[in-house]
Amino acid sequence: MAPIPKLLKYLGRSPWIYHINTGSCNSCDIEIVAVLTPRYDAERFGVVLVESPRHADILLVTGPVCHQNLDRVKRVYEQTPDPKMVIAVGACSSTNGVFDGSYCIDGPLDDVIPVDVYVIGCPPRPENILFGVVKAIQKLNALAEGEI
Amino acid sequence: MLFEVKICLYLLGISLFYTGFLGFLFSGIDRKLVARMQGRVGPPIRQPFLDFIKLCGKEDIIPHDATAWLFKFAPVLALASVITVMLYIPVGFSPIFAYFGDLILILYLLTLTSLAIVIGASSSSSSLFAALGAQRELVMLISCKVPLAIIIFGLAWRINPLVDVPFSLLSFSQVNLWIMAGPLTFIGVAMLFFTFLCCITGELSAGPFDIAKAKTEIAGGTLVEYSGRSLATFKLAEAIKMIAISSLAVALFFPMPLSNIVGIDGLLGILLDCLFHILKIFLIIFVSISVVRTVMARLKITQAVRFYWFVLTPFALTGLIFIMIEYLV
Repeated sequence: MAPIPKLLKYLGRSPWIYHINTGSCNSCDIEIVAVLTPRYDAERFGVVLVESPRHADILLVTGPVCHQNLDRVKRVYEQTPDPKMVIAVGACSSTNGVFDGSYCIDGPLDDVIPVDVYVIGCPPRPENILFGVVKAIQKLNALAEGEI
Repeated sequence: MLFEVKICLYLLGISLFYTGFLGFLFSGIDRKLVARMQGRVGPPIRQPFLDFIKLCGKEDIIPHDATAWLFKFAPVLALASVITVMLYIPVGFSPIFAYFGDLILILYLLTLTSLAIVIGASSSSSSLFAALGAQRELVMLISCKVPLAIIIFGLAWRINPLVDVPFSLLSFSQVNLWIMAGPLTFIGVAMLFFTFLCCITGELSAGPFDIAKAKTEIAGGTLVEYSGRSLATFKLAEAIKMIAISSLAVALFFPMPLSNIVGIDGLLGILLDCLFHILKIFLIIFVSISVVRTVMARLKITQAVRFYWFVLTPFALTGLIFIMIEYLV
């Protein structure tokens, strides 16, 4: 299946995004919704917020990984078909943020699943999330070329 | 015999490419238009093609509990049934199997597409969301088909004395429904046409009738477990179904070709008719899908059934009675 991702590098991408909340405070999730509004309009880049991890290319994960969410995050990651990218959105999922050292979290996210792009901010601005998505697309292209 | 099979395969291939191209083109235009109406920039028109190509290159996961052969077979069945429908419906030029099928066959084949989705989703993927979606798909199927059947049988009954074979789509190109009798017939046909437009929205589960695939309630419903090439096949089947059913509307209500009026024959005439047909299905898709999708939110399944059975069915019957009154009196 190598030729198809290479082909897409020249035609353009269609990143379908699945959003997982692993116990975040909802700020990052609101900012992700803001990305889809007319002001930022992520669909310009073909971004669609899909309903099932089976359809997804990119996982947007928010929140420090709560102990209750640990299994779910791993399962959703395994349910996503290859090639896939994981974006850690917000300070919590990137670094544990204010929850660092808490007894009930298993984060940060890169302890649990491989993370490709980190979007820092508490919450990150919508522009920043979009920039993260574009970075993930660039990484997908680089993967197709065999550069990574 | 073998030669005929070969020709059939070629024709199926041509039908697949032409209608698949048109289907993705129109879903791209639809997405762009909806985005523009919402004040967004929207994806490029080629986006559905990119989605399709991308899905073809992705991993195709079969769930652990799924009945693997049925799970893989359902998308192929869906695609096969819509391609076969396209062999019977004129797309600007007369269809390849113009002298074989009739409207009832087309109705059956359109049903088969939804049934394929139900088979793939409910009986083989072992997902609860998919089972829920499949139930809703079946309910939508039952509710949509009643007014659709009334339209088709009513119109076939009306043109029966005027043509040889009333259930053939070619017969509808020989009569002009709108001006075959007085003003009451015109109103009746207009009412039936409006009903057909509503049925298109329901058949393609667009906008308010996006109940079986409700994103936010049942996580994608029927297609929740599909990925990779199987999902791509379903997307292609849905895109072609959009072309099939809007072409059916054109073939029933507006079959008039442009080449006769302008007076151009031959290959150029066929090309002109094709373009004119594309314009007609664009208008129908714009009215019955894009606009509806933009302005309306999703209904509940009970509301959808009530709309089709207790609003649209009496409406279609009234239109039919108008046509009957002028014909019989």
